[in-house]
Amino acid sequence: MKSAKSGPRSVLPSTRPLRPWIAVFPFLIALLAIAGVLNGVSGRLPDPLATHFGPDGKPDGYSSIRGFLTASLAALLLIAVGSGVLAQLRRTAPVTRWVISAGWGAAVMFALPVCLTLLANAHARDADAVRFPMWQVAAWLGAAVLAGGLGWLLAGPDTRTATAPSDGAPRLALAEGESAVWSHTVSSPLLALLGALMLGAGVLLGFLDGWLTGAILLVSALAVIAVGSVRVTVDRRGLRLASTLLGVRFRCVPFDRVTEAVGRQVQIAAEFGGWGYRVRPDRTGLVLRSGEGLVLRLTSGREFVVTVDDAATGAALFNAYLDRARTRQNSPQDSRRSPRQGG
Amino acid sequence: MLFRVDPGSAVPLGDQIAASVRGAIADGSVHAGERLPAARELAASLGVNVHTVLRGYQRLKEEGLIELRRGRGAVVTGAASPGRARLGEAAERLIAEARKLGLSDEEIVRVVRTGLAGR
Repeated sequence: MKSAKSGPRSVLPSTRPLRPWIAVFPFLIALLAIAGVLNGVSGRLPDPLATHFGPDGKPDGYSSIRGFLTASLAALLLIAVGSGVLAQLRRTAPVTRWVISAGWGAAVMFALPVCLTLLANAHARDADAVRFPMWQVAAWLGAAVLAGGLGWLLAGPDTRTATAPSDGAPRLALAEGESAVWSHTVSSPLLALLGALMLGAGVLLGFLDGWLTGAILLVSALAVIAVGSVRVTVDRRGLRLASTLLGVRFRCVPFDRVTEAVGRQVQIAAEFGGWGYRVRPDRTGLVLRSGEGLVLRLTSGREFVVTVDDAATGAALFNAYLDRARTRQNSPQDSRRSPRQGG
Repeated sequence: MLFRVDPGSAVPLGDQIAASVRGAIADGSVHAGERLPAARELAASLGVNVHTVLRGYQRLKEEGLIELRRGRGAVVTGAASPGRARLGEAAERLIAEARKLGLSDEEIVRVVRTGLAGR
């Protein structure tokens, strides 16, 4: 992804035409397996079936054959549809591999116990005599994990192709040799207060309850305080986040990891599910409020987000430095040249 | 806020840093009470000497736009209104213009004093 033509990512699940089938495949197998077992044991099943077992393997729950099968199939179909839809959605495109993997795991997780329960019932004279040994539970969970891994392998890596050129992104005009720094602080008094309270509680608990509890609380307090007030800087080295209260830099994103910077409105509830320093499958961010935010589109396909005022200027400066970095990369022999516009 | 320095320009780097802050106060993007980056950090970011940044900050302090406090760094003062910053910019322009004409410091001050005497 170090080509000059990198731009905003466009992750398309359709670039792997087999993927929807791979997502649905384990559920088809699961249905076939249940049907096969049902066919094999039909006529030998007690009604009601023993369908729930205690830790000793003895049954402690029963349901009718019809009810058991209906509930099992409904659950399986629901997960199958959910998995298929999620694997198709554009939103989940960067994590489709995980969705497919989870689907494979879930198919085994739900279908295997149905098969095992039917088999266990078929071997017993009546429902009370049914046994479900613990080793089967272990085998069941192991099989689910294995299936998840198999799905992960079959799904293949999520393809990310940089297509659209980033020429349209705004850039700050930088003269040759000129250096610029964009710097802003963003703070959340609420987080700082929370951190201070945790700090106090940590010290108190350290005395009252023992050093371990106190230490855990103190470390968490420092983490909360660190993101309570942050200086966001874009300079010739990249994007840097430093805690103004603790005076430590805790995040740095260099230019070679970024395809493009943009300033846009960020809805933290919808995009991050809360505030603070948040890591989600497709984006990471320091989000202390909704509103204007500086968004870096990373070469990995993820996004790095900081909600901060005047983000558009920061993004424009970042893009200008990106151009400079790319020009140098493409022509290392004359790195003193002025940055070329566009890619 | 945005700091810009161009080593190719005739204006001293410290003054360029001061001009960046003055400009930001003038256009309202930086308000009273806001803290400027620590001199050491800013110097590392811009790739200039710490003393260069401190010279720029000192300049702003003399104009009454920022306060320099040990431990707290540089903070934009309550008196630093956009108008006040624009006045600083106007003074910069006056000086640049006068220098272009070859006026000495003494002559520049006399120009201002003459203007004031008429009021």
